[in-house]
Amino acid sequence: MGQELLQGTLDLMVLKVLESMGPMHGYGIARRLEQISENLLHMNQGTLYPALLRLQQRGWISSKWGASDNNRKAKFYSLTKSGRKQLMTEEENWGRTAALMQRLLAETSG
Amino acid sequence: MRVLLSRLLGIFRKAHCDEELDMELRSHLDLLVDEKVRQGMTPDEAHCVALRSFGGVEQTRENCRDQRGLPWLESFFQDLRYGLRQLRKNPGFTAVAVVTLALGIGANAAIFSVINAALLHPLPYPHAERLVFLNGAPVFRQVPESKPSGSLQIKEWLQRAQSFEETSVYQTGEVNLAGADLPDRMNGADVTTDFFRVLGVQPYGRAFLAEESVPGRDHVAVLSDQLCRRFGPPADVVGRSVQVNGMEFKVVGVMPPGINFPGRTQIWMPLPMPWTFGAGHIDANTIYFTPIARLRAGVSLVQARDEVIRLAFAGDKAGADEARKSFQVTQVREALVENDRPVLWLLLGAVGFVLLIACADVANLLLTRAVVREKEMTLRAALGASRSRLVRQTLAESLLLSCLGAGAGLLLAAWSLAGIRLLIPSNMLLAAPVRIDAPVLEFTLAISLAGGLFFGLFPSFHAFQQDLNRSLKEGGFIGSGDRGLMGGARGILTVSEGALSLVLLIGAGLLIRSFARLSEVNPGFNPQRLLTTQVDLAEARYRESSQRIEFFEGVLGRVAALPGVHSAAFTSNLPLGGAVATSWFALQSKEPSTKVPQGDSRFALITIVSPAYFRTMGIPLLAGRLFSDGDGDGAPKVAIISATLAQAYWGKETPLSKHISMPGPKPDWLEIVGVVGDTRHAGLSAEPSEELYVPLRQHASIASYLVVRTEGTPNLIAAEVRRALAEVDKNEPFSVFLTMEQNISNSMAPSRFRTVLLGIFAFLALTLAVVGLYGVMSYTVSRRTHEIGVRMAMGARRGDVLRMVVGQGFKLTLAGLGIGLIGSLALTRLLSNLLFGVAPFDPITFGIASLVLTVAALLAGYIPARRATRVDPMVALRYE
Repeated sequence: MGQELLQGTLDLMVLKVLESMGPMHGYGIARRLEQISENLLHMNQGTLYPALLRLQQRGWISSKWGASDNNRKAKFYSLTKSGRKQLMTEEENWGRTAALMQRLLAETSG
Repeated sequence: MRVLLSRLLGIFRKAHCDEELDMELRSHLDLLVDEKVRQGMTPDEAHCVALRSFGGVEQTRENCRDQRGLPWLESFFQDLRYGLRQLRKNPGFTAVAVVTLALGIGANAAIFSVINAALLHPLPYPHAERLVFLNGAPVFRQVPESKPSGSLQIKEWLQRAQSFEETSVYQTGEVNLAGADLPDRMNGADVTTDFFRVLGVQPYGRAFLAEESVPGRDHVAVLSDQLCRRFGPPADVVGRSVQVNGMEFKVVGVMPPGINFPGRTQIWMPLPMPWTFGAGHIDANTIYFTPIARLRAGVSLVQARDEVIRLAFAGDKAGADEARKSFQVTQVREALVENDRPVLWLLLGAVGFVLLIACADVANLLLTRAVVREKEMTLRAALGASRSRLVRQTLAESLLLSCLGAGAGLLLAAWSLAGIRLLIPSNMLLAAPVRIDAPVLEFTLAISLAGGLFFGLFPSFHAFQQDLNRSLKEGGFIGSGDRGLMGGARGILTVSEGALSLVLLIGAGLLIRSFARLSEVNPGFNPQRLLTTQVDLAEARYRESSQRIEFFEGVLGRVAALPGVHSAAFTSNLPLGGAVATSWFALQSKEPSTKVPQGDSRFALITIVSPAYFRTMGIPLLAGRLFSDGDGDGAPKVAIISATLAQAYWGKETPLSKHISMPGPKPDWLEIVGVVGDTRHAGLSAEPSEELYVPLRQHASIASYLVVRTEGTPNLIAAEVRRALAEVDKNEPFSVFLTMEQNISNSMAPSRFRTVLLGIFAFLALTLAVVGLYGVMSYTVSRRTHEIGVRMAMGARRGDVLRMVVGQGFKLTLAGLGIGLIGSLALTRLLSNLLFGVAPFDPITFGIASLVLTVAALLAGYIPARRATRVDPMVALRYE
C-alpha cells in the first residue's frame, strides 16, 4: 500500500474506530484495526501516533489520561463533535471514490 | 490555522510534549507486553515481540515531533545557527560583507529618514491634504480695492467661494521681542483671526477672536510652544504680556509643540484691518499677503480653482482663460516641498544604486565561497539533504548577513545623520525631525531582506545546478577559469557594478561642476570682509520718518568711526540675504521710450539705501553719480538704476535725467541720476533682477540691513558694532551678525546639500565597485594559478600574463563603461533642473568620470595580475 493512501485511510479508520468503540487508547485502536483488517493491514503500530497527533491538531479527536482495563496509565482518545462531522464527510467521500473506482475497474476489465 | 497554532505551540512546549509522548509510547508497549505475557510468553520474549510489532520507537518519536512542530521553521533556526557558525569561522569574509552592506544600507536609511521627514510624514494638521495656497496675482487684481489695504477684501471675497471651508491670509516677517532675557529677533506672522481654524489647530488658551482684528484691540499674541518655554509653562504664560516691536502684546494662547507654520514662526499676531503699515511710504504698493484656505471635503483643486476664476472674471472669458494659466490652487504640502522633492528622490535613487552595488559585491563574495564550499554542499547532498534544503540554507546565511549589515548600517546612518542635518538647507520643510524612527526601520528591514534574497539567490543557483557525481570526482579545487553560469553571473555582476557607479560618478560630476560654476558667479559686489545684520525699528517708537533717519544716521556715524571699519551703510534688501519678493513694483516712464509703452507694468526690485551703500558693497558705478547726503527731504527725488533695468527700458539711450514712477493715481516722479552694476538677489543661479535704488533720506523704511565693510576679519568687529548700536538705542535688537560670505554660503545650501551627498554616494559606489572588481580578479587569479603556471612553464613571459589578466578585467570594465554611458545619457536628463552652467551631456564630465572609473578598474585588476606574474611554475604545477 502506498504511503499517501495509507495516511488518508488511516485517519478515516481511526475516526471510524473511535466512533464505533467510544474512547480508546492508542494500543486499543491498534489492536482493533488489526482485528478488523484480519491482519490484511500490516502496520507498524508506531505509525498510529503521528496520525493521532495530526487528528488532534485538527480538532477532530481529543485526549485524556486515564487507566486501562488492567490498570495501566494510558491516554484515551475520543471523537469530538467536529470529528464526527468530518467522519461523515469522509465516509461519503470514501463511498463515492470507492464506487467510482469500482465502476472504472469493471469497465476496463470488461 | 488551528493546526499552525498548535504546531507553533508545539515548538515552545517541546520538552513537555516529548515527555508526554514518551509516557504514552511506554504505556502502549506495556499494554502490548501484558497481552503477550497473558498469551504465555516470557516477559523478555514478549518485550522483543512487542518492539517488533510496534516498529521503531525512535522513528515514531521523530515522526511525531515533525508532526507536532513546524519542521521547516525548526530547520530554519538550525540553518541560522549553522550560518552563524559559518560566519564566525570566516571573520574576514564576514567583515567585508557586513561592512559593504552596512555602507549600502546605511546610506539608504539615512536618505530615507530625510525623505520620511520631508515628504512622507504627514503635516501635523487634521486633513492636511485639504490645506491649499492660492497663487496668482492676476486674480487678486480683480478684487476691488485689493491694494494697498485690501487683504481683508481678498479674504472676504474668497470666503464667497463655496469650495472653501475656511480662508485666511497671512504675512510673515521678523519681529523684535523684548521680555524675559535679551531682546531677540524671531519670525512672526500676522494672520487673520480665523487662521487657526484654517489650520485646524486649537492653541492652548484660545485662538484670536474675530473682533481682535480691529486696531486697538489687536495687541494679542499666540506663542509657539518653543518660545513659550523660555518664559515658563504655558499655563503661567497665557495672560502675561510680551513686548513685540516696542509694544505690549497680551499672550492669549500657546501653539501645540512642533507647529511653526508658516515657516519657522514663533509668534502669531492678528493682522489689523484695515492694514496701515507703511502707508504713505514707498512700501505701500505691495501685496504682502499669502492667501491660504481649507477646502471643503470632496472638493478638488481644479474645482476650487475654476470657482475662484469664475468669481473673479464673471463674463470676461478672455480674462478667465488668461488667469487659468497663472492662477493655481496648490496643496500646502506640495507647494512647500516642490523644490526639494526631485532632489530627495534623486538622492534615494543614488543610494539605491549604491545598495545594488553593495549587494552585487556580496553576491560575488558568496559565489566565490560557494565554489570553495562546493565539496561541503556536495557531501550534504550525497547524505540526503534535498536541494530545496540546501537553497534554504544558503538563503538563511545571506539573510543573516543582510540583517547584520542592516544593524551596522543603522548605526552608520544614525551617526551620519548628525552631518546630514547640518547640510539640510534651512528652508526645506520638515514635517518631523530627521531621525531613525519606525518607518525608517521598516524601510531598512524591507531593503535588507530584499537585498539578502537578491544576493542569496546567486549561490542558491549554484547549489541547484551542481552535478553530484562530477563534483565529487573533481575533488574540488582545480579547474580552469569560470565557465558556464557561474562565470556568467560573476561577469554580469561586475559589469553592472561598473555601469551603476559610472552613472553616479557622472551625476555627481555634473553637480560638482555646477557647484563650481555657481561659486564662480560674480554676485555683482565684493563679498569679502563684509559684516551684515538686520534691524527692524520698533514701530511704536519710530513712527516719524525723521526719527528713523536719526537712528540710521546715528548708527552709521558711530559704526563708520570704529577702528577697522572701512565704511558702513543701510539697505532695505540684502543681496543673497533672504526673502526679497515683497518689494516688487510696477514702473512707468515719464518720457516716451522705445521699449516700454506708457503704463506698462514692468517689475523691478526697489531697494532703499544710504549713500555709502555702493561703496560699502563694492557695486561699481557705470554712469552718472551715486547718492549723496544732499539727496534729502527737500531736494528733488532721485533714483539709481541697475544696468539690466537701464538696458530693458532705454536700450542704447542714456537713462540719466529720465524720470520713472510707480503706476498710481498720482505719479511720484523720480529722476535717474546714476546707473550701477547688477547684483544677484534671489540666488547666484538666478538672473540679475532689474533694480531701482532710492536714497534712505527720501524713503525712510522700517526694515533695514546694516552692511559694514571691514579691514580685517569681519566677525572680530561684531561686538564693537553691537556696542555702537546699543549706544544709539539700547532696546533695539539686531539679528545675528553674518559675514556676507556666510550669507552666500547659506544661499548655496541647497546646491551644497545635493552636491556633497551625491558626491559621497558616487565615491562610495566607485569604491565598492572597485573592491568588487578586485575581489573577482583575485579570485580568478587564484583559480587559474595552475593554468598560469603551465603557461609560464611553456614560455609565457610575465608581460603576457599581466596583459592577459588585466585584459580580462578591462573587458568587464569596458562593458560596464558602455552600459553606464548609455544609462547616463538617459538619466542625466532628469538632473537638468539642478544644473547650472553645465549641460546634462557635458562631455568633460562624461570623459573625466569614465577615465576615473577606468583607472580605478585597471588598478583593481593590476594588483592581482602582479600576483599572477609571481607564480612559480614549479609550485603551480605541483599544486595539483
